[in-house]
Amino acid sequence: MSHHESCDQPLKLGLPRLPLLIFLLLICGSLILGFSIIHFTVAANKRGDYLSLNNDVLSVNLPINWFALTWESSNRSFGGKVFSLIIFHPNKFSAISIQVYDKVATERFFIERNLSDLAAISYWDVQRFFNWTLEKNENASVISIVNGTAHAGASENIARYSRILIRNGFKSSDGKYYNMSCIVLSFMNKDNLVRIAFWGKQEDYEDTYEVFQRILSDLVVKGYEGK
Amino acid sequence: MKGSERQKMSWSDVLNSLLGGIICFSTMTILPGIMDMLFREILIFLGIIGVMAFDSFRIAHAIIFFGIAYLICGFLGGLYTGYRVEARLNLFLFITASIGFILFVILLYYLGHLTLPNIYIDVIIPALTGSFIGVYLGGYTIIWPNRHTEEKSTPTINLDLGDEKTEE
Repeated sequence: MSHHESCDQPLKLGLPRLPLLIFLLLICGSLILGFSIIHFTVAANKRGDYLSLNNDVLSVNLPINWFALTWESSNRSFGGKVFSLIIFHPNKFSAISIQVYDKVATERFFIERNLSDLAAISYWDVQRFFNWTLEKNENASVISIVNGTAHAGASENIARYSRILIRNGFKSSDGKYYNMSCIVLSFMNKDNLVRIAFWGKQEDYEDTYEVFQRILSDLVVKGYEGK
Repeated sequence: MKGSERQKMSWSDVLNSLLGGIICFSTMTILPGIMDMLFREILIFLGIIGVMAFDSFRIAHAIIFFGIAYLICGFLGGLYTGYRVEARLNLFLFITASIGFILFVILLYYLGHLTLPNIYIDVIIPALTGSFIGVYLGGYTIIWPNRHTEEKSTPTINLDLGDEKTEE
């Protein structure tokens, strides 16, 4: 009897074939184990509506219901590492990014972009943002650019910021244009360059500005040597 | 004649195990994307999408996707190979799993995903383990009743061969 013939035999309802049983158990097991890890991670780090992310590079409170991604990138040719965190609202066009550079990456950042100080970095970043919106809508125009100084992080580092307001910078799916805002803060934490950006559609930007302020005030940047 | 028949069969077995691998690969290109979308929707629904920033989430994600995506992909490929291939199933299941996984890695390479940070823990390791374990479980699910019957019938055959009086 070939095994094809045996396949014609119906599966007994009471006792599934052993490999099928193992397969189903593995699926259930992976779901239970995976969601348990997620549950314990949330339970251990929840602070009200925020999650406290604390790693080797920084400590920051993130809104629990915003998308949040972290990664570390390195330059293989010249060395140096950059830790990045980006969070964005699932339903609104509003996002916050934090980048921390190690010493080597900080030096390279200034040299490669030919920038001399923190104010130049912030201004360069908002210009880059404006160029990006021009790619989406070539009729976008700058309403205002404001430069200044602010305190950032729990240790109150002095940061240089640039804030840009762009007319018709965002095109929604129904074809309407909206104004866009973006603020970039740059500061040094020992040898590490820290860049923080907050941008979005004007209304969403204003709605979520409180979240940005909370993140900015709770942020602690630790010494980042790169691994 | 008998030998050439065997050879012919083995070529069709190779072809079927390749087809099993392609089934495994095809589902690997579709299923993880769908599951990822559903998984994110569940996290948004639960209001805990911010957990994605944590390293422990990466491990949880890998474990869940091993089960709900790559294991299923391998299982489907294994079912086909197990149903079609009659001899040396272990070898042909190995070919099925290898083809599925290697094609998937080649696709990732051409899409430029292999250079993404954390690609090994997020995709490669769950895909490797899921496809191989799934293929073997799928293949053995098909032949399991047959193996079970063979095991049961083995003592009877030995008795018939060894005992001359039975024939008389």
